Amino acid sequence: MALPKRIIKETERLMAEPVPGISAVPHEDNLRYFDVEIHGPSSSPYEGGIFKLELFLPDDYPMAPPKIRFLTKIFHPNVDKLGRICLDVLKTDQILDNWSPALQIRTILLSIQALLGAPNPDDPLAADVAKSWKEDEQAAIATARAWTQQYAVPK
Amino acid sequence: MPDSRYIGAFGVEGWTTRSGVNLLRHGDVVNIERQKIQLPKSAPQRGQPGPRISAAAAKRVDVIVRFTDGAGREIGRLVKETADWVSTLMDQKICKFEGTCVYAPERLRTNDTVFLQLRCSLLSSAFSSRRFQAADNRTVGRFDETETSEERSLRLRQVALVKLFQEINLLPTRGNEMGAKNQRRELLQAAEMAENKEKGKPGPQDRDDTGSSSPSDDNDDGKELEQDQLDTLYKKAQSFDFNTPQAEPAETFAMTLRPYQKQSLHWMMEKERNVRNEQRETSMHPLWEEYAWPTKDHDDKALPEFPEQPTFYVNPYSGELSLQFPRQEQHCLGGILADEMGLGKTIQMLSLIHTHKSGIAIEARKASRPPSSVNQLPRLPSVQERNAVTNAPCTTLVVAPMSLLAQWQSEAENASREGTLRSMVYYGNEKNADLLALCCEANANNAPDVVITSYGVVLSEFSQIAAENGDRASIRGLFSLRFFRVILDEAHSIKNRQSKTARACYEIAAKHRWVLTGTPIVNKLEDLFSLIRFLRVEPWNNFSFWRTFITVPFESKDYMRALDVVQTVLEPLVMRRTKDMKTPDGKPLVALPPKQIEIVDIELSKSERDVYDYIFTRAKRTFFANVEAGTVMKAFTSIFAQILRLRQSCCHPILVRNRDIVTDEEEAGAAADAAAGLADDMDLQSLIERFTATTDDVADSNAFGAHVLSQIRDEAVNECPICAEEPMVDQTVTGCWHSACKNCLLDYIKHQMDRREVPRCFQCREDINERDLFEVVRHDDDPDAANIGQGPRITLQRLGAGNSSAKIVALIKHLRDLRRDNPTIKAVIFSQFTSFLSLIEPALALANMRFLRLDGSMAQKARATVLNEFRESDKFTILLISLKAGGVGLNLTSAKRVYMMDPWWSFAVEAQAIDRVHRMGQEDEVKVYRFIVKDSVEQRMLKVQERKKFIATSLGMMSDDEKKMQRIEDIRELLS
Repeated sequence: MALPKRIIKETERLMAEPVPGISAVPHEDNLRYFDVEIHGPSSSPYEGGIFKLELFLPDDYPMAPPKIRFLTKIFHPNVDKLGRICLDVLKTDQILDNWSPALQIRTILLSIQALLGAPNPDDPLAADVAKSWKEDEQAAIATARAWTQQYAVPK
Repeated sequence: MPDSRYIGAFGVEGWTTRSGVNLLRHGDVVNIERQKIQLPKSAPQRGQPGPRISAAAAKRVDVIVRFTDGAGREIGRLVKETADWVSTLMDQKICKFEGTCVYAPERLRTNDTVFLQLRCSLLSSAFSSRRFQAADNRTVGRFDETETSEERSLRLRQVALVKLFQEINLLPTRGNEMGAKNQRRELLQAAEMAENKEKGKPGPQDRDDTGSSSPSDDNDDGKELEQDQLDTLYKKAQSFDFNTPQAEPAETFAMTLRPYQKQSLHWMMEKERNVRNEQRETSMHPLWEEYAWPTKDHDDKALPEFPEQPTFYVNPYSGELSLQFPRQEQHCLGGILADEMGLGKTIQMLSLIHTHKSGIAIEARKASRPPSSVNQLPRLPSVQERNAVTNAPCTTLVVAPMSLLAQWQSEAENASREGTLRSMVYYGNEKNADLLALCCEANANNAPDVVITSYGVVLSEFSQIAAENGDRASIRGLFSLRFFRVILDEAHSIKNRQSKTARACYEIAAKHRWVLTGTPIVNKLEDLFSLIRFLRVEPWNNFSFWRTFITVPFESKDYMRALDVVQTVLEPLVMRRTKDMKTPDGKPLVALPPKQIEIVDIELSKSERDVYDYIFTRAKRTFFANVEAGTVMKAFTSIFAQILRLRQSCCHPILVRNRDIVTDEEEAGAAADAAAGLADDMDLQSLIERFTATTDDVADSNAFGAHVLSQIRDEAVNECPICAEEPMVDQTVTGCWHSACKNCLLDYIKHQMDRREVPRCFQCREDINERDLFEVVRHDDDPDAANIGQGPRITLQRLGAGNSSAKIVALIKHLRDLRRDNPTIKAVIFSQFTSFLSLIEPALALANMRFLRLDGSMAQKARATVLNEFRESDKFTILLISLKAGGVGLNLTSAKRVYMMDPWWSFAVEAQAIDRVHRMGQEDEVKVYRFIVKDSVEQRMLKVQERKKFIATSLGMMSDDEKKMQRIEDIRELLS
């Protein structure tokens, strides 16, 4: 299937005007599959870390949202053990679905970056992480920092 | 001429029907009589004298000739081979026979063989002339080529005469070039073939002696030519010599001829001025043979002599006999101009009309002053004589299909310097003119140079005259005159020699006779015969002669010979050039600008698709159910009607619903039935309603404030947020003023609906009301709508308004793009459904596009007005034409674009239509767009067209049943 114009344009723009702290590079053999890196926002427990994600544009993109998950282990109330992200615009269930075809790869990645800066334990995906976050936020942030150092900081 | 005159004797076998001694001895004279029909013994004898019952039917098989003794008792009968033709000669009162017994056994038994000598004398009645009468007004089957009964009796007579001359060994003293002997054999062979064909026919007359003898009329004689044979034939006929001399047209002719046209002008003038024949000594007609009356009989006894009549004449091809010397009639002073369509046949003829005129016409024009006083008014001829024909020395009669009359007239005017040519259309109201008074020699000063009429008028006047017993002067019209020249345009209209129209045309009197046709042979050699007969080319206009040397060799697979002969016939008569011919220096004859045909794929909307699928499923079910039951032919009409509806639904679902549906197809009636049956068809009805529900509402764009519009117009971002197309394709805005491509927006709404979500705006997530979607229409293509300094006017149009179908939407989009790029271009839109044209009209009006319309329902005058207006228009203009009305002849070269809205069964028909625009006179590239609905019968019809490319020409000539079979095959392909 030929790549839709929209995907081509988005890719070009991601290359030409990259968002600070975010990179997304498509695979050469599958232009719908992107290797993504997000820098942890400064003054957040993720600062200094470079988080790898994978992003896949399904056939019905942009009618349906991209599929995206963390590859780098991260301690975050809205990201589960498998790296799945709880973000309203990425949901595909019907009630909470907030995706719109007017959103783009760029905007989604920015939302994820923002999510790193402002974890939301009230809408958790990883129940245990959220729990520790709520019970002892300082300890949780420390854990997050430690994980970042351990898994996300390039050695 | 005495009552009868001896011409010879011959021996013949007979067989006896009696037994006895000394019934017949050598030297006995016997009477030769025709066996009268005897009713079967069992049949009850009615009181009628003579068995008249079913004489016609019985004649066919009854050839019995008996011989009787002096007392009138039957002794025996002639053997059948002899009786076969002797009976004809006796029945048609050509000969009488006297018999003498040469040998008979002394004791006769039934079925013994006896030998007789027959003395044969020609009767004076044999010489009474018989000719085709103008009043010959029989009804004739459509395409069938069976012998008429008239032709049959002529054939019997001809065969009998030839056999007689063979038997008595009488040889012509003067004859035509073909060796008399060979010729006889061929003649007999030809006749035999015709006879076998008659016999081979299944029909009641063979078995049923008492039944009526209606000749079966689906017998098709004249085999169709294979394409390669036709090619060979044409290749020979069009070996055009580019070195032939050219002639300059007269000064009054206002156009410039191309070199090849000047050559044909020269050729045509040569043909018309062929004066050699007039000066030549009278020679015998090539078909006739001269015979000397014998001076002595077979016993060497002298016969009575009639010194004033030493000879008689026989036409072995027609069986005619004559005592007068058959003069070679003038050669045909005309011919066949068979240039391919688009090479300017009309213009060439007009140049001939200007350049070659009769002496009288030239004189008249020199002194061309309106008569100054009443005394100078010409005296009109008083026509008293029946059947008299008055000379019309200044006038050329043009017979053309009705649709071309106006075009002929306007071309005649365009081709002439002002005031040098008077033309008149003789049709409808103008028919009241007294043509006789107008065109006669006495009125030469004011006679029209060109009278243009239709085949229909020719036929109707012919029939009127027939009703007046062939009195040509009874109607002071076409047949009362002998024109200087007659031209039949699109002359393949008369290819069937038995059609009334053809017969009517044969009777038109004119000094010069021309036919124009791009296809002198449609698919049978006989097609050509009819033209030849119209042209009166001796001897080929005699059907028996034609059959002998052309039809028979052809049918006995002696193709080369038949085609050679045809070639000989054609060579001096035909001028034919094709568009792909090249001049010696390699240039094309006519450099037509290129033509591009593009198929535009149309995607049906969901609701259209539902209608289509519904009809498709049903049509398929009906068809295959009938196939299974073997009732396809029976159900043909209803199957065909369903296919028709299917094709209509590709154009516009509403077409299917219309009761007063008018199609140009032959199955219009069936379609009407189908449409009527639709009332009960609730499912379909509701599908269509669903379609119209979204479309019936007319847009109310004024409800939006101007600032909204300008906001949209000035909006910097013009990229679709969904597909990133820039600019948006058919920009459409939501009720909350967010824009996207129309399809993206609709797709997204559908995507959400499929997930049972309430559709929301992709931008602000407001709920979207589906009815509040508006397409942004930028009138940047419309020169009338430009707002100075403000950029193009913008309006919002509620989506789906204007009752548009996918096809119409696509068409309008194409046209708008076209107008944007070429603000003064003209285009032609063809559809075979006039009702579809009616649906296109409002869409054009909405887009503020000027359009005209031409269809079959319009009167001649109205057509002329439309064509003229279209030609003269210097603005963006569209002509809507029904495929049928616009298929032939029309010249639409002022248009540069062609839109074919629906495919026809054979592409040839569409190509014809396209060639109305892409023909000589076209100066620009022509682009053709064929709108085809994807994944539909239309797409499959293209495949059918592909398959039929090569037999396209023959489609029109098939019998109805063959046509149906063909269509059924097509339908199978469409539905499978």
